[in-house]
Amino acid sequence: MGSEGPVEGRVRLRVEWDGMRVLGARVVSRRPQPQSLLQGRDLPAAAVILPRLYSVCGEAQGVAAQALASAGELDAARVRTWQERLRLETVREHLWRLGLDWTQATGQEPWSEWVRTLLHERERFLRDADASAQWARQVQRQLYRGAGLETSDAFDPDALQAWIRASGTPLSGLLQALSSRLVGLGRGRFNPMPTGASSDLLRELSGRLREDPDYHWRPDWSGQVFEMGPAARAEGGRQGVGPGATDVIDAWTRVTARVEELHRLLGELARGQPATGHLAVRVDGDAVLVAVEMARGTLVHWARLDAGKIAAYRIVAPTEWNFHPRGACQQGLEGMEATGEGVLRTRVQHHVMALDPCVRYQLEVSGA
Amino acid sequence: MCLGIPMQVVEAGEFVALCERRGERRQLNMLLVGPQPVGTWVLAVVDHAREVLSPEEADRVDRAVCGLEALQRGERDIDAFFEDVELPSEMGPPR
Repeated sequence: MGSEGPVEGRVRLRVEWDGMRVLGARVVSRRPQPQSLLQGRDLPAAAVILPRLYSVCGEAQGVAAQALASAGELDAARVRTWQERLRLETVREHLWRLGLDWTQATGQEPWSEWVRTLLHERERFLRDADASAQWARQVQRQLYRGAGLETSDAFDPDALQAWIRASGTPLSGLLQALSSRLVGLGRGRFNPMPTGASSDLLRELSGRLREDPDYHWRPDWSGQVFEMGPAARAEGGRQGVGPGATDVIDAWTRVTARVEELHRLLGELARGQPATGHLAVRVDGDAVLVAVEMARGTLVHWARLDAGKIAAYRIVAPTEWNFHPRGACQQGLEGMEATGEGVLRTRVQHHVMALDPCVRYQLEVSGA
Repeated sequence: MCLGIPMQVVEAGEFVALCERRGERRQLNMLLVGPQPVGTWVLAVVDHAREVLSPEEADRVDRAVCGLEALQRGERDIDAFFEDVELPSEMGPPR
């Protein structure tokens, strides 16, 4: 990665647009990797450095790095704590996207208080299940009030539509504003990553990361590029394991999947149920791989050790799958209709937001 | 995998503040941290100030980001940016 541009890196989108529709799209995602920072250090040092740098998903980065450092000695109590941390971070990220980013994009009043609470009360909630349950019940009541959604995890599309029309919560108001903007937007073939980072996937990732120093920029699984995130988790869960392209997807489905998942996670917290997010470790000789399920999808850390010190360390983040040159973002851009450049830019913004990259993006439009 | 960047408020505002880090200025949304006086350090995540940092925390994160920037410039000797990392005490109790 060169030194130009922001240190965080960014996603670059280049679209060819004829004034009516997008004829072609290129997606390039390049962000700083920690490899050179970590070489020669030991794994516990990586567990300090990475959350310090990658603080958007600092819990997930910290958990992955700590799991890597303790591979082979994962005790159940520690895993449970990590799962709780990941769940709270996922809830926070969903509330952030919906209550800050999407409200801002649609000119609505933001609702930031719950994100603030989670940022400030995280450690207390981890210690005190009653406090987190009480808080989750409050949020659920205020966001999901009406149509029985506050008492059921089932979230069928008809019930959702009826609830959006009938309820008067900040969330239903937001969805009402979003539906006309997002239905059909970024429509593309849906290829969800099967839930739970199967042993086949972990084996392939471990092998590919060892063989190819650039694999993490453009990951694939047996040639297929999968989508990650709440929609993929929901669909992958229904499908069970095993890759396979299904149906089509659009921005509306992606956003409502986030709404559904937030509802489910708040319900778990409110009932005091333990977190069950996926966390897997694979050891291959001198290399260790950890996969953790986080808000945006499966986060993978992989390290190869030499005499106890890090010889190679790579991170495969969900953004690398969704913003892969052949990934969900690229597919949704192809053929996108827009009759003016301003409209095009707004539609691209919404498509990208629905896929939720963890960095800013830059859009270049040509051909009009 | 987005980096959090420590930035210092240089022009305060109720909802938006102009913040700076090493010559780079950004308008940050202050909804999550509330209005902050000039001189306050915040952690910038994309366009939001996510949390208020103590000067010590800001310095620690800043040095880590500087280490990454040094690598991007092609420098190889970055140990100075992470002098505090090897201390076992920073690992804290098992989580």
